[in-house]
Amino acid sequence: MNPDSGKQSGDPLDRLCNALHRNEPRLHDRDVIPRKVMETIGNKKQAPSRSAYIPIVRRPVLIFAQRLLTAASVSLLILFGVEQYMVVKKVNTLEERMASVHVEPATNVAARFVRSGFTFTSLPERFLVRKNLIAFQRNDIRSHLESTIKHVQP
Amino acid sequence: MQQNLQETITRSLEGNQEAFRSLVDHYQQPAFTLAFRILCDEEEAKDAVQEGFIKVWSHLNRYDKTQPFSSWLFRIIANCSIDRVRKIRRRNEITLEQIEITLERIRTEDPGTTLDNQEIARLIRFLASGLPEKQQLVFILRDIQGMDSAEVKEVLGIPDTLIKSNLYHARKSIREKLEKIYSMERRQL
Repeated sequence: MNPDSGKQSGDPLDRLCNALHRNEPRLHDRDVIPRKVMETIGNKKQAPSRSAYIPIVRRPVLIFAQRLLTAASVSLLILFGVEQYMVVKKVNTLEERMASVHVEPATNVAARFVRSGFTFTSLPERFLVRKNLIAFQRNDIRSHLESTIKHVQP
Repeated sequence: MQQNLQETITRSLEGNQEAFRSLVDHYQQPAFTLAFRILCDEEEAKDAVQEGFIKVWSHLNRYDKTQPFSSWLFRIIANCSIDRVRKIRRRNEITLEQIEITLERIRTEDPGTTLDNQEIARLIRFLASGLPEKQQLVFILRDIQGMDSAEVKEVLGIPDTLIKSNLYHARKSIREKLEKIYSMERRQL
């Protein structure tokens, strides 16, 4: 159905649409709308046009800055991605190595020493004390044996 | 005339208020017709037209000079009217008797018969009442206003297929409604 055709078809809907299309509602007072519109826009500032907003000279600089920022953000994104990949890879390798280490009884003993507060810096001191103690005990036994022998021998 | 109009548009785009006033003068009647057909109310239509022209003035910088000015203007007026039609709640004050008289006039009198604003409003309201909003708008814009599919698509922002299906369902419902009225009349006779 085309209202522009102007033909009177038999369909009541077509006839109605044609009548409505032909009969335009009339605006009786033609001064009211322009007056009110002009009053309103007189108090209202027109939006500045886009071309006037950014001087033409600055446009290439702005475009360059925009592209530079875009490139920088993309590079940062790639960098973070690569770094993340490397970290994950290293953690995986470390986990694999840890899993392959065979735990021996000696390792357990060493672990117990460490847990009890043993430090490797205190090792020489501890050995010296132990050595002196053994020497003292030996001397003591020897002198005791000598005095016994003296008493036993006439 | 066309050249003068183009010149007026160009001067309005430059911010000339006098040129814009003559543009309002020139386009107010077709803009009012469109708004009235959507709103079916004289005062509301006038307000929608005013609002539309003010929007046009405020957004002249957005006008694409490659497109016809009238299409852009009518799109804004139609959108203002649609916004208003969603806000207002219509009182259903049409009686079947009034509709029957108008229908009879259209049917019997010569094709050039004139309807006043009230009759037009009543008739459009009657035809569009009971239809979903999209169907109402598609029917008014396509069949009464005489817009083509591309224009309706631009105003309502819906695809062609949806326009066609809405129009089909709207026409079907209206035909059924008219058929009921005509069968009632026949029975009375």
